Amino acid sequence: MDPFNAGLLSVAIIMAMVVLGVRVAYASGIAGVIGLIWLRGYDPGAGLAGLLAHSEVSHVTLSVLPMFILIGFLAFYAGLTQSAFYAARCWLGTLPGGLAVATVFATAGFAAVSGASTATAAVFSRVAIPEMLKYGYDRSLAAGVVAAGGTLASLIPPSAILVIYAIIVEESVGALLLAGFIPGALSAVIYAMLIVFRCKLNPALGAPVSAVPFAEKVRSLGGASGIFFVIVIILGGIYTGWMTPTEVGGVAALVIFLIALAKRNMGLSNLRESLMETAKLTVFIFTIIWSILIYVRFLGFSGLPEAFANFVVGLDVPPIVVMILILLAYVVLGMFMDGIGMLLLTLPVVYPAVTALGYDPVWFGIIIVKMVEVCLVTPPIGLNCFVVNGVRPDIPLEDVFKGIWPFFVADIITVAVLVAFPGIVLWLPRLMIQNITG
Amino acid sequence: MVGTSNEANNKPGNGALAAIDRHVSRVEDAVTLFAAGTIFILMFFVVAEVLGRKLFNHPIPGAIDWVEVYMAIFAFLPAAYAQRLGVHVRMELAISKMRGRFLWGAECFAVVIGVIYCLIIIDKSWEHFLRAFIDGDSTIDVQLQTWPGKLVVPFALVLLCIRLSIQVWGYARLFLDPAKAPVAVPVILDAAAHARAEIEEVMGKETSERGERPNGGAQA
Repeated sequence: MDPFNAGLLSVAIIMAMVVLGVRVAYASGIAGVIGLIWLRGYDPGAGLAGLLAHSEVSHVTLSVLPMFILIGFLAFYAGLTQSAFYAARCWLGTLPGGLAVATVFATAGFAAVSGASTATAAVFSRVAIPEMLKYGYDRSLAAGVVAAGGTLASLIPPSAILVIYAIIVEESVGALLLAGFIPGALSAVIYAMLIVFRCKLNPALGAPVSAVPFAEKVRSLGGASGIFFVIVIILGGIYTGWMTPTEVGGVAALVIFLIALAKRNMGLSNLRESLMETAKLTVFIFTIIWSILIYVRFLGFSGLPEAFANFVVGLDVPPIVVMILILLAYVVLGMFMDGIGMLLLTLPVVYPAVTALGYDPVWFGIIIVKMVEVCLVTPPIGLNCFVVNGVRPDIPLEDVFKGIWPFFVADIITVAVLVAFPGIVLWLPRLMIQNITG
Repeated sequence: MVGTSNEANNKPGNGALAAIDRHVSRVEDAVTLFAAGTIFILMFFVVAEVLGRKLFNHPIPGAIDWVEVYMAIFAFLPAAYAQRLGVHVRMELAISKMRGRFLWGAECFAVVIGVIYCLIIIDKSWEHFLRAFIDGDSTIDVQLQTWPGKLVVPFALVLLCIRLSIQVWGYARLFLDPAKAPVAVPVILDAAAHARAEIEEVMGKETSERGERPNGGAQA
């Protein structure tokens, strides 16, 4: 068997193992190890795998991951959810569907200190839904906005999934993080416009709430100042090139930690719990990264990614058609699999083809992460919807899914806008590169 | 995407398997706590590096070397702990539809693959460590010995291999007698149950956010 066919066979074997329930890290890792042994013999092949396990993850760039994850866990203790919602409500509550609009921007703000979609949805189910229902908001809208708002966490920095993408495709972590900011904010704006439009057409969905005095509006920002501070640290630190992503992560984590300490919410048991959760998520990501990278090494020797890229480029269809097909494939895959696993499993083959078609790697990263997020709110899994239903069992799952559809349409519009105008994604990272290189 | 948890069968069981599971769990908890502490130290370390570099024009000598040598602690050590809690990602589309012997047989196969994979990497990562140890391999900047970081890999994977072997045993006994209660193995949760676990986790945190004692639900 030639290496190309061995590469194809390895893809089939991995797929079979993953469908049978083998963990993605083990399935890809063992396929990579066996492939390397087949190509090089036991000692050189397995030896390379043993070396890669350590060398591929011992890069300072990857140390950003535990920092970003830690920020998210500490943020729960810093009391930023209530204050983000209160500030957003003070400033945006008077719009049609004002409380729902406030929820969107509060989740976007909270996303700036947390990269966890499901956790954001759970917290805001408790903070925002009771308030919306109290003011007679349609319960599908109330549930849908919380489930959809949670998804903003993956694009708005700090985002662990964007860091993982950057590492796998060997792009600048800073560029990816900056690139996520405007699309994340754009998603929030499109959600808000959709809510205002729907509530204007049908005021019964959600009425504006009464205005608060300007002084109170200004005061409300004080409670959410930790969020603004972290946004400035992360975006400013990366944009100016003053700090590496790990360093902005460390500084932001320390700021959140100090806020939690100041609010007397950070006892030893809470700290221990945050750190244990961080360690658990960190090792999950690292295990899958080094295992996939062993497989990627074998795949590189097999020539499969290059052959697939040549095949895709040789197709007699416009690149945009191929891109749409790839995105649709991710929607289908996302129905059955976790986002990180899905990305890592497919990128080694898909990524070279996408770049061969002439698409920008940073742009593709943002598009694909947005698609992963769409999967978090679509049936049959739609974990965020289950989370909302779990916190509010009085809102049936059908109502949550019913409430999510307008936001799903909004997401598709956002993706279409980002595809049509890639400059929206690439403007900030390009500015950063110009700024750093002078 | 559906998650797993062994919370449902965390009740203390009797017999050799449950006893081994408990002892190994303690070791896993301890090494994970050590790794978690390393993450906390890393936070202060990078802040000190930024302050030193920007404010005092005096960066920590070999800061990158230190991070690269010791990051293996959090990159590898908690792997067994994560395996015990069913954190490592997988697709449960087919397996969640299986019942009885089919289910336990498939689960057993899935962890056996993990054991074989670990054994190969343990063997070769140990050799990788030995080479660094014998040759006195060091980093370029401050000549830090690299072997401690390389030793972490086989050590963590031995722990992971022990955890996987315990799970092979746990699934094999269920395969032989599906009527038995699961011991020392994670159980599959459907989407709704997985969502409940996530909520429990966050609500523990949110409760404490309001200054109350968390309910401990954030463990998994």
